[in-house]
Amino acid sequence: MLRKSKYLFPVLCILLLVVVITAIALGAVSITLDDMFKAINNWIHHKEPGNIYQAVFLQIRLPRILLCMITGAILAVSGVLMQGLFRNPIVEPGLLGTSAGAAFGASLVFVLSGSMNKNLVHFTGPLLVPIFAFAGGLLATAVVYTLSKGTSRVAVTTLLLIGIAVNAVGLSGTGFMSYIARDPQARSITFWNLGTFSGATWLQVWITGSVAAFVFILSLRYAKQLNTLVLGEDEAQYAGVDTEKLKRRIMILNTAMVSVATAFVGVISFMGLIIPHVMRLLVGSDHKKLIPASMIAGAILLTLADMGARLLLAPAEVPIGIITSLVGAPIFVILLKRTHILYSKGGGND
Amino acid sequence: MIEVQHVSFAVNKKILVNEVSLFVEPGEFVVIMGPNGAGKSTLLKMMSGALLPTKGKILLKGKDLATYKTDQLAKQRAVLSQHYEISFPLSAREIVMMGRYPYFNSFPRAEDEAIVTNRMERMQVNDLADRSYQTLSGGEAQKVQMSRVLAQIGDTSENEQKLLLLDEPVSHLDVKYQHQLLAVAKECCKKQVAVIAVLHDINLAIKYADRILFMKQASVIKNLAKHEPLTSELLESIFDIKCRIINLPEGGKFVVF
Repeated sequence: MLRKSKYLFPVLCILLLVVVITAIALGAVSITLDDMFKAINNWIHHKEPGNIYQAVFLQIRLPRILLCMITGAILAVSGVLMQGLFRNPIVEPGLLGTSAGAAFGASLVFVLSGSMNKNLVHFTGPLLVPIFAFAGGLLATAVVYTLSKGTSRVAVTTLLLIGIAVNAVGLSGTGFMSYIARDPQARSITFWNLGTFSGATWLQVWITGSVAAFVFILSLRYAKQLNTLVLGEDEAQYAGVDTEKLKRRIMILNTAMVSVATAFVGVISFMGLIIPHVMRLLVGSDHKKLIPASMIAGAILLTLADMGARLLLAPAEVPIGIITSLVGAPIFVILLKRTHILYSKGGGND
Repeated sequence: MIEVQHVSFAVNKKILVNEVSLFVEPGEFVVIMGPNGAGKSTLLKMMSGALLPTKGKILLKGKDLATYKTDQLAKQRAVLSQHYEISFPLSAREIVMMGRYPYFNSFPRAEDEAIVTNRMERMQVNDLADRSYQTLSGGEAQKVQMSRVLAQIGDTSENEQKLLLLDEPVSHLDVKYQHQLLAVAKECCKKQVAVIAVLHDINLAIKYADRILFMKQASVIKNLAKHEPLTSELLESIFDIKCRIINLPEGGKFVVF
């Protein structure tokens, strides 16, 4: 089985490389490998891009693909962390209210930016939506966490249920904003809720990239502790894990990365749910392998999805969330059916 | 090793453990017995550090249990719980390796791998190493968990004494493995481990325990050392059921309810 194979990581890396180069090459304009190398070479030597293709590569295609990879990796890792924390294979990163809060924040800007303080709008420029989305995501998650903190321990089921409630509030808020919005604004909201990478810039790449790097290193440090959590909370404590601290930290990490990713590209569903599943089949549930494997697989799959989004109706673009859900949902169901035995102890108990 | 001083535990004014005191030395095998709801598991949980007593205190190696950090404590004592539900597919060996987690940083050392193999051999579950834990039978799973707990105890010596807590460790096992598990625990006692186990089978308790702590309605009724006589009156008052104690010709006792 591949699970024991030492080739899995090299294979994933090569696959990532192939997908990335293909994704860069294909698009409204095709870019040759030669142009890619020359563009990078010119950039290193602080020279202007040699031709229009090199310019497209440097200014549009490359940041887009990079943002795509980073976001894919973030969503996948966050899915692993959430599922590990909640000891539940069908948990999604958005379940703590993060993405619904972010969506509401973004919709506020789309509808009300006309009546906002002119200086604020001018000062923040293209970052206005991300800032509001980030704040919305953070706020919603904080509300979920505070409300579920009943006595002393944060009970995981309570957390999930309150997450669902806050999600519903966020959704209805976004719904209300679309309702009072004028047509183009409503379209912006809809589009944002389905996610897109069409506006990717280098600034976004740097911001999400640094957050992602920081969070990935930390999450690898929690891999062992997440493993023990598989045994149950009490047992994890017996094995030396301060579970309350772990929960708090994982939730902060998760919120930070999901808010940042969502703030720039909108809501992308199913990635955080499916990738940990598939990777668990391939590398097993040891988080030390599961986290890096999901990271790479997330990058590969979201880049592929974005390629589909750009090419399917070219020159028009399909929102990427439509692709991830449309392809992701059936795959998810198939996986769930086939691996049913893995998740129900003894098999066939339910 | 562990010193329980006038410990009580109450939830919403209901007293689950009432004024219990107990002193266990390294190398001792103590069995806690009593009817359902007597407070056995609650007492064990307090000794594990998972529950804080509402009154009294517990000293582990002379230091208040409440002042230990979670990761420090994991190197001093291990706990086998009654019931495990594993949320994700992991191999049996991966589960056992978790017992070594408190001892290494990122990757297991050769020493950890050796201990894991050794403990799985001792529990005779080596051939299950690569099986997914979720496909194991209840008994197999219990033996794998026991291997994990033994791996967490690690190697002990005169200056490195540890505490092993077992909560109904044999409830899923067939007769042969009930004895095997308790014999392995008893072996640990010879290596400076103090074992405290909750059991329901009085005959197993008689065979393996150096001391039996009888509890009923949150209180300790009798702390019975091995050399003290076990009477049917005592057992009947604890379990509310008639019993006969048979003295075996080869020595030892057998209780029939």
